[in-house]
Amino acid sequence: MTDLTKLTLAQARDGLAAKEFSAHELTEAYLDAMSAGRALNAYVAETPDIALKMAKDSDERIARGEARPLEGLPIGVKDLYATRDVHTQACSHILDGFKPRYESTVTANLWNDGAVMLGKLNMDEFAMGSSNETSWYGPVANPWKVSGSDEILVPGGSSGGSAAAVAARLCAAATATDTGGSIRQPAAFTGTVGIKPTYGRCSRWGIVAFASSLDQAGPITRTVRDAAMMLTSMAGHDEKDTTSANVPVPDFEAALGGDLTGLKVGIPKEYRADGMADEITALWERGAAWLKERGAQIVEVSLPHTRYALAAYYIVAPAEASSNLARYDGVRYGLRVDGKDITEMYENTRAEGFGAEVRRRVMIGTYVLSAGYYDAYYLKAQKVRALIKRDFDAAFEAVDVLLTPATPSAAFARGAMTDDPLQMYLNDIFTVTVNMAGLPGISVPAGFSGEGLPLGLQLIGRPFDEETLLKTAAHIEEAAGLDLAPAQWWK
Amino acid sequence: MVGVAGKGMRMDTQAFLETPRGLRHGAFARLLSWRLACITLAIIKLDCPGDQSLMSVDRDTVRRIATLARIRVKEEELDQLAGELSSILNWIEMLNEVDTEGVEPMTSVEQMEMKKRDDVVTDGFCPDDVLANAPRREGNFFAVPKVVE
Repeated sequence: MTDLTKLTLAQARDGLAAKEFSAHELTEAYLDAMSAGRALNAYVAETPDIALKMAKDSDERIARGEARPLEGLPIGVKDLYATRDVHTQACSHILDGFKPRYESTVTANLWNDGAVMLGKLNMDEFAMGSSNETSWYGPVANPWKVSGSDEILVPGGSSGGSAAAVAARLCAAATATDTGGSIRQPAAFTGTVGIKPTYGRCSRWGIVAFASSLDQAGPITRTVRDAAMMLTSMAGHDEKDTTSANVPVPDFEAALGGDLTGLKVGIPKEYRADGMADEITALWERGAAWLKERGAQIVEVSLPHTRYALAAYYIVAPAEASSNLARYDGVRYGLRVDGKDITEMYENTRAEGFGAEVRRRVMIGTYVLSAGYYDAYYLKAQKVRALIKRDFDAAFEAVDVLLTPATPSAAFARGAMTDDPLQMYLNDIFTVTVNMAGLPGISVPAGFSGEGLPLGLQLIGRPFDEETLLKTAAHIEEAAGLDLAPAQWWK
Repeated sequence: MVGVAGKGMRMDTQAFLETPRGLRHGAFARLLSWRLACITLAIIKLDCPGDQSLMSVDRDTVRRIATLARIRVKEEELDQLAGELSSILNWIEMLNEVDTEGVEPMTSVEQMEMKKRDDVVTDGFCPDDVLANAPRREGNFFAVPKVVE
């Protein structure tokens, strides 16, 4: 029997439909891979019993000719999504033991389409991080290593577990979330595809909130086609989330194919910096060249407020986080540390329950929202945000999609940036603008660094135009023609 | 140098470029750290003065924030936190360069009217679900230490 975990989501779907193997066999193959892959620390909760039961149901449906779009396909779920009666802790100590009595809308969509749940995936605590080093469950290892080196690298974050699991074939696809780059940056670091759809495209109901005006659910997958399949299932208006957009969900897979004649691709000049690694610049130029060969027109554009986006983000996101994380107080769920009175209980619970990065961000947020500072910081940041959005609106009058690097470098070593929060924040420099403007963005593997590590390119699109992103990304994927299977050192 | 402890929080561009952080894990990490610092500083044109900014945060402010955030901070942690928060807040100061005269703050990503529904009960009557994860439950209540003095 061939190794079923080698199949992409689309190939697995086709194989199941052709009855080349059963959903049970496919799930078993992934459960075996998960056991063998524990060194990566990608999963924080494995759900083999649930998976096998779901696979059994899928086989029965397939036999009756009632296969749904993702029937029998084994998926990993980021620990940020509420999964009924299953570990949901946002990888934080403060949600110890929390098992929700409800299911998030996005995961419900996936199960309603027949997908199988393998387990919950590791992440930075409360989605705050760019390396998956802040998790209560310990760091995740990037399946990729520098050629000839044994050094463990980070998979990126916050969706490090999702990205590592997909890259190492411990699931056929994964759900993730992106607030400042948490889908796209780890995808770039692990040679996987990650798409953050337009704000409002997917429902946030049942996803542990970090920054409500920035958070968005999205998939991490091995191929662009797989991402299209996942997004079609995950997306959709939800009455329970008033920020979810009431727009129809197209069949995103149908957007793939066709050449790029007439497509205008913008290259934002402010993303080019002196000192940027030559190989990143070269990759970016190569990406533009591929698109041009395939019929696109390359146009330089300007996004003048680019350099302020990260600072504005580090006001807005912590501010919203301080509000969203106020609920973790030991009263209704999770960890409770006693105190002499209720205030002490709050203070002790939160001190013990939150990790250092979460604490830092909640405190920044509290400070910038406090009396006397709200105008100077939060309002100012929201005004800058409006200007950032305006820049993109103007650019999209001239072009249809923007091409940028996804990250300033390839994956870095575990521990390399944990001493310096500010340096860690700079990892999101190319991705944050997209969340601030609410636009869709995709990271697609486009090449390798000199040391053999994957590098990604990012495409940014108009609101609700994920179709153009997927179509264009598929061309980059095809042109790059990469072999994206890291050596399996973790077995 | 962006540091994490001590009194004088400085963000000297030159020093930052010359002494990259993250030196613990080999030449590769050093190269990445340096490259990362270069690109990002070039992009964001970090040009901070050597002096401690007026907006930096001291121990008392950290205590006040900790109280507002209801997170107990130990005395011995105050200096480190003050340092970290200061360096982040100093960096954020660059937003003052942006002319936002007449710009409306962006309150939502999309032009949308807040959706409403009829004010009727459509959910609930499931106290066991609501209390399922309670650290301490008494009947249909969450039990907590006394609130009223």
